[in-house]
Amino acid sequence: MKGTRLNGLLLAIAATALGFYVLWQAASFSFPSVTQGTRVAGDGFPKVLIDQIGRRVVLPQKPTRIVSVTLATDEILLALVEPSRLLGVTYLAVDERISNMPQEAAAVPHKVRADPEQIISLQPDLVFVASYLRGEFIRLLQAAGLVLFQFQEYDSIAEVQQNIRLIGQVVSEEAKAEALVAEMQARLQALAEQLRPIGTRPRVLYWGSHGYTAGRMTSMDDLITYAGGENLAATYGLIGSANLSAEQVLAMDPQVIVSGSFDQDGQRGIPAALMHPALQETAAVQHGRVYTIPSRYLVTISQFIVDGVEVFAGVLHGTALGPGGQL
Amino acid sequence: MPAWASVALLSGLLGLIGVAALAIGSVSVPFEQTIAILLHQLHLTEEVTWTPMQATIILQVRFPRVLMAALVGGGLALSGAVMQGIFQNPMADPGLLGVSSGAALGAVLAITLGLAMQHYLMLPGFAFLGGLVAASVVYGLATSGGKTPIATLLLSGVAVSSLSAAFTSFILTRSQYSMMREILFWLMGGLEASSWDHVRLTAPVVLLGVTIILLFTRDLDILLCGEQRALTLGVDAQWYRMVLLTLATAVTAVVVSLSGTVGFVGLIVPHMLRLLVGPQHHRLLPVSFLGGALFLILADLVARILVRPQEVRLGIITAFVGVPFFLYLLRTHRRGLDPL
Amino acid sequence: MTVPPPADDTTAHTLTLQHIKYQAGERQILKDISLQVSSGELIAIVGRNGAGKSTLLHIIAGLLPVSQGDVRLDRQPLSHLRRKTIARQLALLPQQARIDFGFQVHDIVRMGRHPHRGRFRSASPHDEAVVHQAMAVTGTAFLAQRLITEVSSGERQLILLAQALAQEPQFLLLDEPTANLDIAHQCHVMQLLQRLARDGMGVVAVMHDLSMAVRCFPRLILLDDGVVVGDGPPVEVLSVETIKRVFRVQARFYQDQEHGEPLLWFPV
Repeated sequence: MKGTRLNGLLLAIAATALGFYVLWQAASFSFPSVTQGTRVAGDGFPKVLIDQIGRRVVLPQKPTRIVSVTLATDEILLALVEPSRLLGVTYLAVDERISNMPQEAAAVPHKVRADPEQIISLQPDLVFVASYLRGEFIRLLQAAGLVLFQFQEYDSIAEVQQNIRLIGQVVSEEAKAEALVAEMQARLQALAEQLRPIGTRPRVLYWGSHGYTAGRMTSMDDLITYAGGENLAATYGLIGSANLSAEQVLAMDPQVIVSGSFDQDGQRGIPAALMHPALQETAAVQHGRVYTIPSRYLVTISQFIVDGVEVFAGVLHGTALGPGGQL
Repeated sequence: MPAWASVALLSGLLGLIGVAALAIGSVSVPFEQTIAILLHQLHLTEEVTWTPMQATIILQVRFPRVLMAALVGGGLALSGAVMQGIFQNPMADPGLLGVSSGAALGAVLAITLGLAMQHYLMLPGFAFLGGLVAASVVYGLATSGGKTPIATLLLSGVAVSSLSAAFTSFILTRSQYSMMREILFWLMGGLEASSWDHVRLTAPVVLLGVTIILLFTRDLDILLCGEQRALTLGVDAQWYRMVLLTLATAVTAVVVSLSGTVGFVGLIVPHMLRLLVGPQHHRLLPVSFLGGALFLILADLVARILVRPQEVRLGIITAFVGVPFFLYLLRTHRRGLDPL
Repeated sequence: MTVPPPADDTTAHTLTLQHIKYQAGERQILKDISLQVSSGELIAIVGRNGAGKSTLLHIIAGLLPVSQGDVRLDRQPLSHLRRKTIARQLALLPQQARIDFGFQVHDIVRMGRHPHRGRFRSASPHDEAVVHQAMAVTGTAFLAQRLITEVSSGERQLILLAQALAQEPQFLLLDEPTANLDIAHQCHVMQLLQRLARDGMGVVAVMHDLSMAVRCFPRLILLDDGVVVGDGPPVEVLSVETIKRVFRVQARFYQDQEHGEPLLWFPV
């Protein structure tokens, strides 16, 4: 009897230890982009949309009742499509703190949230959803017979451009899409030229709310890199978003610390979150190089990511370039 | 009131409230159209007076949601009633054996490992497995020599629940920011995106479980006379307890895996109803199922219309609605309470 | 599987224990017990605390598995019979059962009919009649509509006794039936047990109260440290020396002048 009790205890300890080990391994995996977005087949109409598990939906003709349920597609569609064809954008699109096109969005007749009834009631012929919305919600819309385009979460500027082209294909605005991509490319080129004489890349750490930073395979990584900085989170091998303690920040010793703010213009100054006494030792704090940038530039994964790069570059290098490429 | 009468009354009420819930939502569909759409589905009318869009909303969005509310509420309430009988304690709850926390852990694992995005069955599948595994571990820990003392079972349940919760928190802290949102959404429980998929997964298990449990109402009554009296009356207490526990656990696991963790229903609804209809299980169990269904349909309705067009989390509504009502009952009907 | 004997027949039945050994963990609680109980007997099992009295009763009822030996009901080993079959012939009334849920007394007693009812059958008129009689005999009929949580502990004992009687058993086993009862209820229970034995039921009760055991039970089984050290009429089983040896108390019996019954006296 005593023997079995001891065995039981050992078994429980072993099981717990194993459990922790499995978790530790699992937690260090990251699956930043597990799903593919929708693919498009066909040149003219009808086009076939193929979703990530291979289901095919036909888009019979040029969509004129488009509803967008993600902020990124709001911004892309507002740039590509005539206003009369855009039926609904998200309620976030009119929020100046997070949207880059609040005025244009205000003119769109309906503001939607992730409410199946509302979306169905608009009787759209094409709905843009994102993979970060709940899977069940997407399935419900499919069951209701709506044609969906699933927008993949984008982790780089190249992917953003690719998907602008894809969206252009779906809504039959290929020319405009190419032009938009070309403009993005031109501005990035111009910025690269400006930055060329500057030999070094400052060591940059993005440290956002609740201590999150962004490593490789994130849009933030591209923002920093194209803005001529070195993303310390990537240098230290982080992939995707990760949580950093003040201690780790100290060890990284950044030259520049950036976080986002919901203010219209962003301000110079040290946000309260960074007031940890230990951080006084970092080069960034000592040289006063702690900045906030308006969040709408940092979180966007539409064409405005280039604006974000320009603003970031301005902050990093004091370049005269502002958003939109003007001096 | 004889048992069949209370069942009939509740069923009628359920039907009425169910139809009312179908007619109300963020998009307004006139009541007459709602009825007409339903009658048309039953082939009772031929005339079409509504738009396809309205039909889609009623049949594809609201109908499965109301059905899910009924199945989840009924399943949880019935499981709660069974648990309270098995543990001879009116404060027992379906989550006692760690089913809820195990299911939560399973769900969180599915989300964090990226599996939830690959196939829609991954998340409920993992949650269901998590719930069953947790319950099995609890049962295994508490059983030795063929006997499962109730006190040990309860303590094992507490231990495993705490452990699951700890693992879940650990995973939460290590997860990607976007996944965290999805995890928290699931943990708070809700029926927003209910579709016919959900109903197809939930209904067979819940209805089968309920039917089988209803066969054992007399045995459950006898279990409450104490283990020795039960045995000498010919009721194998251990066996029946295990069977009923397994059924209640399976029903709870299925329900939790599809709707997230909706607290409170399994504890309060059977308790309230016991105060109203008495503890005899051949009356209490069916009434608990119907009462739980009714309760959750109403709660979900309130969740939908309280701060239109947004929705309030279901768990918040169940708490706000249930507690005051329960307190009121406690004061006016002291019938059937254990002497403290 | 065997065919159980019909519910109310008038043949005599026997419960036989042969060389029972029972072990719990490391302790050998019952070492070698053999005895026989027949219909119509009124037997008290007595002994010190921890002698194994309750254990023995539970083994007779078929509630505990023995390590050696067997218990037979009319030559059928209990282990070969289905629980429900046993329940039609044996009823055990445990000590102080608590019921925390507000069942009506009437429903509690009706549960005693469970061994005789099929799963889907509702209560028949015969069931109701048996329940009614059980409550009448125990004097609990006036409590029928009350809740079990609202009655006193003495009344609860009587109600559970009624439930046991509703099983229409041939053998009634009771674990300290008079513990925690007031005098009136004690008398009531003892009179009832005597009447039941007279009417043909085999009654075995674990008694802690030696005085009452000696007065009311024609046969005593004395257990000491897991063995039977006496089995027979009280005056024979409980001599002064035996009481001194087993109970470590200097006690003796006096003859009550008026009724001719033995009374136990012990120094305090």
